[in-house]
Amino acid sequence: MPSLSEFFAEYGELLLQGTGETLVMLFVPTLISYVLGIALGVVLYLTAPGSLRPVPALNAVLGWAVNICRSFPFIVLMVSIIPLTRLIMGTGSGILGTIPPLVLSATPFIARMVEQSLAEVPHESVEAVEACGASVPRVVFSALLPEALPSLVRGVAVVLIAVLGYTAIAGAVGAGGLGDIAVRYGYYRYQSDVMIAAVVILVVIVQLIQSACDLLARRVDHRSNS
Amino acid sequence: MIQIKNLCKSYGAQPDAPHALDDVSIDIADGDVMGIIGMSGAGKSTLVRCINLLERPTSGQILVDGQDVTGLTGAALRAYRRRVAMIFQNFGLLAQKTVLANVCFPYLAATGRVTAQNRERALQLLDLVGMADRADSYPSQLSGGQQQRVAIARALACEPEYILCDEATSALDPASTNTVLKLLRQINRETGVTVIVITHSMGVVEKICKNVVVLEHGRVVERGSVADVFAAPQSQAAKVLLERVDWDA
Repeated sequence: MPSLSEFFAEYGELLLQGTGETLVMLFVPTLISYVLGIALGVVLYLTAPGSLRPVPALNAVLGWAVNICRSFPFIVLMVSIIPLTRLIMGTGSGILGTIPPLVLSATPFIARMVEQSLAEVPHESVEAVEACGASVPRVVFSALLPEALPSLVRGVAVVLIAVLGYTAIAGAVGAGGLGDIAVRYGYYRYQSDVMIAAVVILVVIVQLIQSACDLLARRVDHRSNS
Repeated sequence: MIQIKNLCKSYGAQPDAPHALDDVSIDIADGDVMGIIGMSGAGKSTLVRCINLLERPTSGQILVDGQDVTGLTGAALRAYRRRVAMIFQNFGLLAQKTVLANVCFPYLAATGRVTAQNRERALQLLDLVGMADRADSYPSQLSGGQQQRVAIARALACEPEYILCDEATSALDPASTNTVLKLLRQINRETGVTVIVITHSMGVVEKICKNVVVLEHGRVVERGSVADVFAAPQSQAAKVLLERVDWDA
């Protein structure tokens, strides 16, 4: 039975590199997706029937597009858009190759989360702001998004943890990261200890994301006296 | 003054769609405190929301100082809405902004920024409603009556000619109701702002209104000075609202 220090001497660098790759695959596509997803979510909210700028046809088309993207299991989406990925990134594999499918998968998910957060803002607050003579962009940027901020921050945790799951799948088809390590060592080589270490790191990442977002959401929320 | 002429509002496109408002005509003089009273579903909220165009009337006109406002859009609509500020049953304050930032919102809406002068004026208005010491609080730290006073200060920040009160005291206890009503009466007397009060409470009408219109099923069934209507209610709706009927009949 090798000691813990021997284990880290042998696999520490591998796990560290895998963690780094996972974090890059997690944060870079999520950041891009949030820029697109917030815009899409706001448009979905505004164009819904009975909302501030109802355009039912556009709303329906965007809704379908979002639903279609969300229908694909991530692994199917990833392999089916490889030609597109090659076109955009110049490669269909590696960390770079995961960015387009991760963005395409996360953006509609984020759009729905944002739409839901905006819908939770009390209707009367939105009407009161309209009654003050605010334009629609003013309502969105000065009232809706700031009012929805705690909910949006909680949504970030849900999105990041979902994307973390996707990065592990991406890893399994050659993009590297902790998922790749867990599959290569744990599944193909029966080295359970490496797999367990990868899983522990994933668990820690999830806990950190959730705790950080919870803390931040409480910090920015002024709805309770605490 | 506001002249509402033959106003109709129906929901749905069919010609036989139910009418929330059916041929309503009301004149509201400048400086008046006008009560619009009726049971739930009588159309009074729809009426007041048509006045500031949160809802578009199906037909009819709303003349404000002789100008029909029902076709306004864009910047003209937004400028008009500041002339007819509104306060709501559940206050409609922004929970993530301080009291002061809420009162400054009309300035932000009008000009895209809040100047030091704006902030000073907002503090004066908060002082007027007795909330200056809570300028840095958040709405959740205030009672309902205090939140409604902040909402009144926000409405006044629009420098309005008319204030629409949509069930503004229905969510408040009697003591807070009296405070808010006294404040509205004081504002009406001191600044001459016309106040339009939507309520289902005759008590509210009796306390602050000069004139009253009774709505039932989207129609005006009675109108007159508060003294006359209270002395001799003609319509069944007014009698019920005044509790002049045997409740157990």
